[in-house]
Amino acid sequence: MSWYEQELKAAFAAGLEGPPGPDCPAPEVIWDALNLALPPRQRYRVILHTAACPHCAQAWQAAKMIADEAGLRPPAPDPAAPWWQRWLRAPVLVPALAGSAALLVALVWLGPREPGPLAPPVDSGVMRGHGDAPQLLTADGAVLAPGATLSWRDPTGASHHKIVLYSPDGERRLELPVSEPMVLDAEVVETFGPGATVLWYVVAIDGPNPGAESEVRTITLPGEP
Amino acid sequence: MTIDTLDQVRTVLKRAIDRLCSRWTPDAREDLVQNALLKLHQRASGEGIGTYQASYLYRVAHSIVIDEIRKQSRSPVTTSAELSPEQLAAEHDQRPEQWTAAADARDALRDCLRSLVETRRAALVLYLQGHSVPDAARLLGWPAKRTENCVYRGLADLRACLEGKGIDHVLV
Repeated sequence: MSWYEQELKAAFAAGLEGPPGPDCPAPEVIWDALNLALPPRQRYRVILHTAACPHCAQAWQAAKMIADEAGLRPPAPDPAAPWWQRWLRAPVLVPALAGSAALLVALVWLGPREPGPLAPPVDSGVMRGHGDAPQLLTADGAVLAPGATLSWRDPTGASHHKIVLYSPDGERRLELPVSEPMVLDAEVVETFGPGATVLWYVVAIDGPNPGAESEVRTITLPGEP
Repeated sequence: MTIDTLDQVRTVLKRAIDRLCSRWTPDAREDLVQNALLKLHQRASGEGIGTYQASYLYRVAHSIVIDEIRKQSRSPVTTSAELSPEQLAAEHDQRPEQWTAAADARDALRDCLRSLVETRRAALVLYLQGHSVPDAARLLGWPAKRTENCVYRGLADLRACLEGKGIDHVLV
């Protein structure tokens, strides 16, 4: 790293003071972004926010310091080493090999089945109406009125799906396994409150394939806040 | 690691809060530990403090500290913007003209960061925060090569922008 880059980093660190703004994410959201607990799109927004907000950049640095010292964030792969060396050094190698062997046995036992990679669910939104004229609302803030459903289309036909709902501040979160478009149930309103704004996305899950996430959408729950 | 006794919970919270607020007084840090314990107690459904993963307790400690900093930032006390360059320079142990030049450089750095192409800005801000390129790539969900390109093109753009503002050095 050049002297100039070191100067830039020092100047950036020295400017990490300032009042929070009205659009600053909650500290929990910053923590979750750093620890990869937020969906990629929302994580990206938090990162961009820290570029413009010294206060949240300071909160990000604080979270990084604590998470790194506590060993909560796994070390990033060494880019200098060839892929096969990184693979051999990976701490997950033994369980991964054991898992692969078990999977092989299971595949031989159950017969050939080659699951392809999952594609993320698309066309997610609030579906209103039934029959010949259903209406799909994809705009942020659509009201999930009684009778409407959270709907999506899955191009790869995963075996099952999960809907993740969470409040903008990250304080409240619900993960609901679903087998078909989700009807508003009492648990959602009880968790977030009537009239609340809630972010949601769908995860497609299929056996050993990792879950593929849809875009994050925003809905408003029915009722007065 | 699962933590379920009050002493263990308190120890983890105190360690994190002491680390985050090492310059604060012991009393102020103890207040934050108590606030964190209260928050956990309010969330615990049954009797006792509840059962937690250490990572969750670190998240709570971080949240309590940042909330406190936000509260103090919003309280009606004298802010940096209301202090004269002489007072600010004294706070930073610098001469007034040095402090003003450093503050100008920091403002220019922020302005130039804002003017970068969005993808370069995202990669570069992580790099300036001390993340390695592979770590930044993981956070952004991008291939390492793309992230590396964005960091180095972002650095070049940033340098050109700062030089355009007449700032050759950003020493603080």
